[in-house]
This record gives sequence, structure tokens and C-alpha cells, in this order.
Amino acid sequence: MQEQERESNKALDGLLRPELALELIDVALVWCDNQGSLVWCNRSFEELIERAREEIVGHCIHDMIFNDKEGEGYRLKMKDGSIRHLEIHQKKTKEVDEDGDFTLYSIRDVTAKREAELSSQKANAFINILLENIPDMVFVKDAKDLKFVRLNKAAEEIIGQSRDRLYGKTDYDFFSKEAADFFTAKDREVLSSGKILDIPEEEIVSKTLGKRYLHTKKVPINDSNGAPEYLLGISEDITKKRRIEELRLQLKEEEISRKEAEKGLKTREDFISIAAHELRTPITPLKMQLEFIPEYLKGAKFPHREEALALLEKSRKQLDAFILLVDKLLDLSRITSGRLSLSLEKTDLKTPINSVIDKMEYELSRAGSKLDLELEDNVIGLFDPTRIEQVLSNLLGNAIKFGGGKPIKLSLKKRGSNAQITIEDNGIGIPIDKQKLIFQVYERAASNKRFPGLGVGLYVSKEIVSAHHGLITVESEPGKGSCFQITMPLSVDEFGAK
Amino acid sequence: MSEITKRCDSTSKTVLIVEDNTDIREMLKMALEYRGYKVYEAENGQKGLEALSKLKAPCLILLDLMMPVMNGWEFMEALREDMTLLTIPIVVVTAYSEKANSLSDKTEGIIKKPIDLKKLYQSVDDWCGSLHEA
Repeated sequence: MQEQERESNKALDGLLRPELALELIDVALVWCDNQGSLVWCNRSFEELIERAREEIVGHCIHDMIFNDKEGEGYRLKMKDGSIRHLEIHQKKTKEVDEDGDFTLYSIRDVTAKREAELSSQKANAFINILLENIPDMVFVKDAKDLKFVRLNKAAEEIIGQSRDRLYGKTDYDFFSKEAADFFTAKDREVLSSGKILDIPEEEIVSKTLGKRYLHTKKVPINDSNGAPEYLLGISEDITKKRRIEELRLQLKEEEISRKEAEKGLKTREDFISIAAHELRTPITPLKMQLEFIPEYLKGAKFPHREEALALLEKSRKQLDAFILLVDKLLDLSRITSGRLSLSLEKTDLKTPINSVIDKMEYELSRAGSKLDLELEDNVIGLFDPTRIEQVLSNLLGNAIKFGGGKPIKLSLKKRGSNAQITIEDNGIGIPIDKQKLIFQVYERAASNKRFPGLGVGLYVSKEIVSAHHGLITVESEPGKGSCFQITMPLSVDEFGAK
Repeated sequence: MSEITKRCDSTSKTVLIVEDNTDIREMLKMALEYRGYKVYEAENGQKGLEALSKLKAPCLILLDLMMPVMNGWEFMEALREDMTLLTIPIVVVTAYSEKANSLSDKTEGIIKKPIDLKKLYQSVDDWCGSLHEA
């Protein structure tokens, strides 16, 4: 190596200083005549092209250096097949003592620089694609005037403006003053503190999307001297998330209030059940005592005997009415807790109907309502006669209560495989808007003052008819009267249920 | 009258009342004694069994269902295991008519609470033979 160097340095001996400089400069230099033929080159060119001067003198420069591809610039193919990229400056010179023009080419190998540029371009392109496609809004503002200098697609969408309209503008150009003041204050805070700021929730009004909620991070970017240069903002649109969270909270609240309502309902049901059973306990001995006292008094003589016995009889009747009320409450608690059970037996529906009419004879005559009966024979099926009696007693009781003393029609018919019982009065009727409600528990169509009641009779009746797989319906015209109709299947269905 | 009635000791005309509610038990006793029956009381099934072990078999047991210590159902199960007691007719006196319905094959009758005095007399007279008719 040292030998070689000494050898080559020997070749430089005797050169004039300017010539020596031309040989030693690290820029490759080539002189060509006006035909493009190489006249002289320096050592840098020899090294670059990997050939000795003697080999190439007289050859056309364009056979050694190519410029045949758009955008690729000058290139040189090396012996090993690799390509070097060149930067070439050329200058035409006039040689006074020679014929024609000469061209001086100064050539630099820029392969490394070019590769670095390319890879940096590639990295930039990658970052650009990344930036454009992340769903969060990314924006960059100039630290001096807070004008937008860079935005991504998500930012365009959220702000509702294309980036051409945004570049060079500030927040004041498309947000309300109030909003822009807020954003600017935060920007300044970040730039002056030099610290990243996290804004968990801020509100913007988008031109296209309306009110949006953003979770924003603001990052200061300093120049090489540490002075603020840019402000980077990254905002996640949390409008949807926020709505979902709101809905979740709302649902949770609804769930809580529903559970509370259910608990309240359960408490009420439990209370009714307990109250009804508690009320019943003293009723049993009370009823027996009231019934038994006349036994003791039989044949006894004492003042006001008849009056006393009449009072006892009245008390007994009142107690029976009280027992009916307690039974209603018990039925209600049985139904609401799903404990209503039927004792089905082969029943001619005439039997419970007649039994109810017997029991209500006194009330009918007191109300002055005439009862028209239209009862078909042999309407026989599987029913719980006690429960059917209860339903009829409710409906007939209502017809008497609300019938205004006008005639009441009760009919029993066989319609195909169904039994149909109709009770029709000519009384005050039921307002249309109340007709759907009357079969619900505690609902009453009539005022409590004029027509007192628990509001459970029709509900219990409907449940009893349902338990028989039947249907109870009402037709009514206010002021003209009401017609209740019960339809129940006579036979047992294929599943063995009624 | 059924065969079971004939198995009753017609001379005793005794009724055993098994009922935890004192008011009801006393009223039942009063009403039946007034009608001429001899009445024994027990406040639950356990006491009822104790009474039966000391007494001549009554012609009827009036049995409540819901009682502490030993309820009506358990009492009936216990009676089934004793051949001498098995034949004593039982009338269940209960507010739980639904629960009693399933007992119809084990008892001679069900009287629903609140008790109707006429029905009570009718039932007791049926199984023990009316003293009034005698």
C-alpha cells in the first residue's frame, strides 16, 4: 500500500502547483472537446470510473455516464454492476490556442446522499400515511401565531373544513370567540410551560357534525435552541363514547328505579297478603261468636230482645261483607304471586249463575233493577263453580252498582265449543279512555266518592276467566250502559289443560 | 251414615279439637259443648297425639293445618302409622282451601274458615250422629 502510494506520488513529481491541485481535488474533473470526446481527466475521475486515464482518453463521455431515465439523474455503472449517482456541473470554455469549444465537467458522487434522501422520503411517506389514516384528529400550529400548518383527514372531518381552507388560519376563523379563546389559552399554556397537556373533555361545534366532544392532548415542539416552534394537537372524538356512557348510566338508573319499583310492588303484595291473613285470624272466632250468641238467647226473655237479635243479625251480615273484602284481598295476593288455583269439576253454568242471583236478590230489589234472564240449558263444561260464582257476583254487583236502577240483562249461551255469559246494564257506562284500564289492578273508572271500591274486582275476575283459558271483554257507551262478556272453552284441550 | 260412623264409639260423642288459635279453639269448644258433645282440646299436633294416647278414641277430630310444633299434615301422617287411630274421621278446619283441596282423599271433610256455625254442626252431627236427633 505504502509502495503504491510512493509510486503514485512519484507520478505527481514535477507538476506545477495548479496542476497538482487539479489532480488532488476530491471532485472528479473531465475535459471534453466539442464532440464529447474525453481529452483529460483528473485522478478523482479515474478512481470514480475505476479506469486509468490512458484507457479512456478519446472515448465519448456519454458512453461512460448515462442520463437516460427521467428523474434518476446522471448515473454510472460500476465494474461490479452497481450504479453510482452523480451530480454534474458543466462549463463550456474557449481555448484560445486550440480549435473549437471545450467543456469542463465537474462530477461528484452523490449516491450516499441520494440514498439518505430516498430513505428519508420513504420514512416521511410512511409517517404521512400513518398520520392521514389514524382516526384521531392531528393538527400542528405554528407557535408564534397559532396558525394551522398541518392537519390530517380526521381533523378535516371533525372541523368540517378542507385543509386548504384551514392552513394559515387560526381557531378564530371557524369557531366561536368563546371557544377560540378557550383553545388559544390552552395552546399558550402548553407552549409557555413546555409540558404536555391532557384535556379529558372539550366541546367543539363542527360545521358538518354539530356539537362534538374531544379528548385532546397538546404537545409543545421546540426548535434546536429550545424555543417553542410548533404546537402538536391530537384529539379523539369521544362523542359516541360519551353517548354510550350516558346511555349506560341512564340504563343503570332505569334498572335501579325498576328494581325499586319491583321491590315496592313486592312489598305491597307482601303487605296485602300479610294484612289479609292477619285480618282473617280474628274474623273466624268473631263470626262464630256472632252466630252462636242467638243460640244462647233462644227462648230467653229480656227487654229489647228483638232489637238485640236484629242488631246481631245486622252485625253478622256486616261481618260477612267484611269477610268478602278480605277474601278479595287474599285473591289479589294469590293472583299477583301466581298462587291462584282452580278446582275444576263438571259444571252446568246455570248452577253458579242461579246461586249468584239468589245471593244478590236483596241488592237487586234494593237498587230497583229488574233482571232479564236468558239462560240456555246444558251449557256444561269443566269449571271451578266457586270461582265462576265469584266472577259473576263481581259483574252483577257492578251492574247493580252502576246500573242506575234500570233493567239488567243476563244471558248464558253455547257458542260452538265455548260458553258465553253476557251481563248488560243500562247505567252510567264507562268512559272510552277508561275501558282498557278497568281490568288492571287498582284501576277504577268511577269516582271513589260516589262509588267506593278497592278496584280489584274486575282484575280478579279477568284473572279467574284467564285461568279458565277464557276471555272477558267490555263494550260500553258513557251514559247508555255497559256490556261485559265472558267467553270460556267448555272442553279440555289437547294438552290436557282447560 | 257411612261405615266409618258406625266404627265410632256411639256412647262417647267425643270430639278432639286440634287448633292453635285459642279464641277459635274456645269458641269451637263452647259451640260443641252447647250441642252436647264432650270436647277435648289440643293446641298443636303433638298435643293432639298425646291426648289421643290417653283418651278413648273420639268420634271426630277437628284439625287445623297451620300450627306450630306439629302441623296438621304431620299430625295426619302420625295417625296413619297407628292402626287404632287410623280410622278416626278427620275434618280439616282451615283458611287455606287450596292447600286443603289436595287432602280430600285423606280427610272426611273440609270446613273453610271463617267457620259457618250451621256447617260446623252439620259436619259434626254427620260424623258423630246428632245428639239432638237421638
